[in-house]
Amino acid sequence: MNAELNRPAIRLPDRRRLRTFAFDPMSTRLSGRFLALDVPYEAELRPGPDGSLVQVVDFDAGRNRWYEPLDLNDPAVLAQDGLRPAEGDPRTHQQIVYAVATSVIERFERFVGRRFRWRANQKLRLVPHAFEGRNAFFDPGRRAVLFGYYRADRLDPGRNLPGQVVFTCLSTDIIAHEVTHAILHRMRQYYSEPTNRDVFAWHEAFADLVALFQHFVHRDFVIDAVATTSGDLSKTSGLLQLASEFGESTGRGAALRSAIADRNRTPDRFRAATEPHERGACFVSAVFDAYLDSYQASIVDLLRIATGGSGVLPAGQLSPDLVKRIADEAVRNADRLLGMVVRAMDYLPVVDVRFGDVVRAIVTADRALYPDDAINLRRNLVEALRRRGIYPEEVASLTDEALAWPTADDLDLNDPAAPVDLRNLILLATMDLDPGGKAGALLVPQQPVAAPAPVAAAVGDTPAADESDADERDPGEVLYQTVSKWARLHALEIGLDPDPDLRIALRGIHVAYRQAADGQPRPEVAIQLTQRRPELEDQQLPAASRPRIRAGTVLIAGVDGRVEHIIAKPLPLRDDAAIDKLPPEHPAHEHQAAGVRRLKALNQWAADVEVMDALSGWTAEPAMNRLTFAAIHGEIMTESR
Amino acid sequence: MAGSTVTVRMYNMGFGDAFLVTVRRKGKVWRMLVDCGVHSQGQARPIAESVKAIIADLAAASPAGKPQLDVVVATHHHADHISGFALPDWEKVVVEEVWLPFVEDQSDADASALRQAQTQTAQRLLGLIEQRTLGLDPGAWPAAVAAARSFALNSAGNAVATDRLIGRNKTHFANPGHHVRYLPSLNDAENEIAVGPDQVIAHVLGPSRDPDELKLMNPPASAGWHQLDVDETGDADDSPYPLFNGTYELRDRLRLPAVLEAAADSLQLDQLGNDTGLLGAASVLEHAVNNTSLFMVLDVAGTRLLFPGDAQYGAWQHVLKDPRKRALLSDAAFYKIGHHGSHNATPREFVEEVWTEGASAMLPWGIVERWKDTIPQQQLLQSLHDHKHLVIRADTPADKQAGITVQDDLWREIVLKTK
Repeated sequence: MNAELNRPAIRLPDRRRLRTFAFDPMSTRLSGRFLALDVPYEAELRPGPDGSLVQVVDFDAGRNRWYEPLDLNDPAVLAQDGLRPAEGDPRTHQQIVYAVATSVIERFERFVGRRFRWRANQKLRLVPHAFEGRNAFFDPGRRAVLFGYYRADRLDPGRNLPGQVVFTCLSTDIIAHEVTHAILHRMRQYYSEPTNRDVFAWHEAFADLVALFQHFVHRDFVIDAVATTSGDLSKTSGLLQLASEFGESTGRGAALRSAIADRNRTPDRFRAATEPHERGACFVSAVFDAYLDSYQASIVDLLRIATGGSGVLPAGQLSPDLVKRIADEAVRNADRLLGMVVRAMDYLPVVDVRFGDVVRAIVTADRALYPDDAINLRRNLVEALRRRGIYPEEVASLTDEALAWPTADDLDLNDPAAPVDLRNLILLATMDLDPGGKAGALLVPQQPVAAPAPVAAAVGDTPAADESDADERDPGEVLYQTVSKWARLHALEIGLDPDPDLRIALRGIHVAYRQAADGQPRPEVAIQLTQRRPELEDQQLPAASRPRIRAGTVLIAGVDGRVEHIIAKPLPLRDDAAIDKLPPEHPAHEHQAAGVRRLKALNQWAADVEVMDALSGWTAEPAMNRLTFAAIHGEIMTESR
Repeated sequence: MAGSTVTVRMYNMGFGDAFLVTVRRKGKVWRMLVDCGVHSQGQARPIAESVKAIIADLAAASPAGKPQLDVVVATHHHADHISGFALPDWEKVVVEEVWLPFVEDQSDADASALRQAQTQTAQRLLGLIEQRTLGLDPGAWPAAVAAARSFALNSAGNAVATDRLIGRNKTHFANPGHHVRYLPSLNDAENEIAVGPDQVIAHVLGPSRDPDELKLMNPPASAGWHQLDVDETGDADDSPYPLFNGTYELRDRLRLPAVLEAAADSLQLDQLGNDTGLLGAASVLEHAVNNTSLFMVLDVAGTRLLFPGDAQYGAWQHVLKDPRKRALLSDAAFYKIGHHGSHNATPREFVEEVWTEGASAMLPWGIVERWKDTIPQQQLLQSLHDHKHLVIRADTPADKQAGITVQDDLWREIVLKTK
């Protein structure tokens, strides 16, 4: 855009509006409705669209052709909230994947309390027409979400034409789901290693939750849902369903998944479920149980006011004013509940997550900000999860105190023997907080080059070279070294092994500012440490194909360096005699016991995966290595049985 | 009574099964053949020669020189178990009864839907493999695709053999209209079949007829399937179709931003082929058909012989979780090792916790190059050895083990004494 057109120059807008389907072409055709997403205005947006976080690459490899890349800064496009979505114009497909991905990332940032960046600032690539097939998936190796297209089922196409071309990139639900996989992978890269049956299920649950709650971004749509159901949201169809067009066009006769498909609030389904989507769906159902409970509780006063105190609505339509007030409550509750789940992200273990850990993380994170839980949101969620059989096994009860992660006594990052200087990190994170301002410099903790070769070749986490002055020591390296040194010194207390041959790797360090109930920001440092244990891996397999065994610990600390929580996934110590001399109350004893249990569970799980895999009889490659994002996890089409 | 015996003769088909069971008791002789087939890529000799040898043995054993069998069991419709029945030589053999897993019963709606789904899936997979390998020299096929094809072939194209076993489409044994049992029956009493001489009972333990477990045999409902775009009709129009009007195609590459071109290069989208997915789906199909196997214990006055077909993980659990069925396995004197000794066709639980020690087992096996390192599984053989079982392999050339008769490399035989 030419900024010289007007005098004095007009400031660039903060926001850009872009139209999408609601929420896929089939639903839009039936309802006549399009949606406009409100996303940050990126001044530097290039044709593609090619922005700072996502880059749309519209190359169709199967047909070996490029489609014309869309320039969203074209005045003709700007003036009409983006192009009107059309199945026949690939540029609108580019617009939709860009808009939805950007919107999902921004929403995520808002909840997690810090600016979101990809590892080493490498953009996520979105390929709207990547291949022909009934699939779309996030591919961590390619740093890309790949969308397929296919022809609708010829016998059972639902409300589509038999054999019509269906594009997965036009479903806002599918886009939101897959981009969320990418975000979660950014936060916890080792959740790509399915070390128990919950790991991929949590990936699926989180992706579905974000995709479902994304519906509530559209207030008009919620107003409509409230009006047509007289406020009983459990009776809506579109609002709480995912990927209707995809589900129907692939012969399912229904949406791909529904948040409220299973109304029986019992633990049976969760206990039996092993398939990731199925198991994840149990968690999603529980969150929506809690959502509906909280929503109902929050509108009882409105209903009483509207009915002269009886709270019983008369037959017929609600007044439009009431509908709007109820819709606002519906949106507010959705935001609060999703916020609760997303905020828990920093409190999740760095490896080997279980749904019980998720419950504990949610409670710990929420309790720090809302100690009183004045509106019962946390209680509702814990209870809804319990009814569906989702709770940690190792806690004594389901009270806040029992569920919260253990606190740490007398651990401080400012230990004179190995101090960690957080000042630079805090400064950069603070600069990042100003959405209109310049972001802080990128600080990538990285292993010093001179250090011994890494034990673990981690997937896709080779950080790019920093642009700092070559004469100075790289601040990312300094950070890595000081944190690793501190962690080794305190290894026994935080569930890691002090053996000098076992590298302790710093996988991430973040400062977040979250808003608490009192309106004040609560700054916090989250540190992720991992330690690979090659000697515990299956020595009968060739080194390259051994499923990795890792310990990992997350530390939550105040900005003053005081450690508040230790979230450990330990393993048995190499030298277990090391803890004999420690006093009985030392945490190392508990870590050791947990480590022994965990290693046993890891090995049992690997054996189970092997025996259940249809290919394992035919190949020496361990079945665990076949459980990948593309095969299971990123794949949204797997049918829930 | 003295002289009462059960003889099990394992023909060396290669990678395939054929077991002739002969019960001699109280002056009566009763014969059952369990399976007759071989995998196309693992034949010890041409299948026609194997079949001729079996029929010649049957003729020699019969007083009138007329080959005869009391029961033919076809455990499941894989080529390595039934391909031999396609040969016309069987028209010379009198067969009183054929036992098949219930999924072959066309009058049962659930069963025929399942059977049809399995066959269509195999055909569709072969179609996808054909597309994938168009213009490729077979030697240059990716290993995953070649393996997927051999799975699909194993499940597809056994129609003539199935026709003969059922006695339809003018394909039959020497006596048209033989009796066919589809097992297990929904009536539990019919799953204990008294046969031939006194005190000889066949207990049919599987496959499961539980609707939830049936779903596991239905490959299109299994994970990972849909990405292959397997259309229910099975006759998809595979011709390329236009996605967009040509004006949207970027033809002038100079207009393409360099960063996007570089991004596309680094994405290597041309290597996005889903060969692993194809193999995964084909192996799920193979597994699903294996789990339709007729799972049976032949009880000769307390001497029990276990024939599990190729039941794998899932089908075995159905049997092991039922205390009555589990008890029948525990003191088996003989075990036909499932699925050529592969990893999950003999549960560790069975060998370590259920089965007695010191019994006999037979391993029908022949080399298939691509599986030579994984089947049979060495751990399984070791653990059978540790539990003092006598393992008789079809492929070992000169067997010096006691109690075993060897006929060149054509068959191995064991005689079990009974009460």
